[in-house]
Amino acid sequence: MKVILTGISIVLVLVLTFVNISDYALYSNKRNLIARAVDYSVCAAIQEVDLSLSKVGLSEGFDSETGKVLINDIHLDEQSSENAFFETLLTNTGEKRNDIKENTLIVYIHPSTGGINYLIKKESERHEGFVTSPDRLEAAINNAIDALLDTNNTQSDSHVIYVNGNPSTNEFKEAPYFLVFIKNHEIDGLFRRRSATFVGFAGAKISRQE
Amino acid sequence: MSKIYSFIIIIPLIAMLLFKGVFFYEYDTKQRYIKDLVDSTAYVVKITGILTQDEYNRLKTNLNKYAIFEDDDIVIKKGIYSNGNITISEPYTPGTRLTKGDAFAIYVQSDNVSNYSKIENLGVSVDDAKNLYFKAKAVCRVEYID
Repeated sequence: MKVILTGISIVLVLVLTFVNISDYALYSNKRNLIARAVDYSVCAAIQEVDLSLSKVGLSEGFDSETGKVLINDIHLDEQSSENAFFETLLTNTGEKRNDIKENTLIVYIHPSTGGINYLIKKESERHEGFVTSPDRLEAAINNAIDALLDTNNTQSDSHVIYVNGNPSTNEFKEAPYFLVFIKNHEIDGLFRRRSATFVGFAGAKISRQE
Repeated sequence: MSKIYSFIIIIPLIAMLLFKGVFFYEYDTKQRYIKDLVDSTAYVVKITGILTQDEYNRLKTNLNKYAIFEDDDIVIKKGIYSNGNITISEPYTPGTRLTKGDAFAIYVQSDNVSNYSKIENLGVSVDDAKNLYFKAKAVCRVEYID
């Protein structure tokens, strides 16, 4: 009898271990898949420049005194950028736009004379603002995250982005950006649902043909 | 009597679970490596605008370290973005230069069925939907500026 009980206990421990490992492996695989796809998606979205709104910006070319490439007043086309973002995400991961849009914050950033304009969107909500330098963007975005997304649950992932806080990371520069923050996206494991938060941003690579 | 039961039922059950665990770990690890390889290749195309024949051969050689991948098992396509919507329709030939804004996609699926699938289905299932292959895909947009 003792032998059978010991055997059953070992089987149970093995089953539980196996199921838990499989569950976490499935979750972490999907999480990594989405994290990489977010990177592909923001890089696709940033290329959707609105040519009619950016006429002035694109025509300016170079600073006559410094020779620096000018990238002020270059706007992204909101609809096309979002299409590019969600379509690229869908083709890479199978995640549908309708399933993630309520947890998604999209930030458009474009520099203009004297500072940087930003537009923060969550579904139909729009918050436009202006900061005098790129290092103030991080605080503006974090305030919007607090205001627009549910950040009361202290157990969930971080509610803030760190871009300028760490000198080793890429800091915001004075350039057009497309930034996405997906908060607490639920991912199915084998039997448990876990949530994860994703952040991705890309700066426009503006080229000037000589 | 109890010792006989343990030999007949419990020990084979423990062995089967251990085998399942080992093969699941093997499948998961290989699957991650294969996805990494596909992503690295897509990243190269994203920033350079080209998948050279050398790079393609390297991808195929590395994929074959984990499972069997013939040329037919590696599908590479190109397409366009129009108003943000992707259309991927044309096959891509390695060595072709893409332009900024084009879409690029790689799909891979192993020729052989994973060992985990074989232990789950007690061999290769006649219903192919039940077989678990090593699969990965990556779709990206070219950033390369000529």
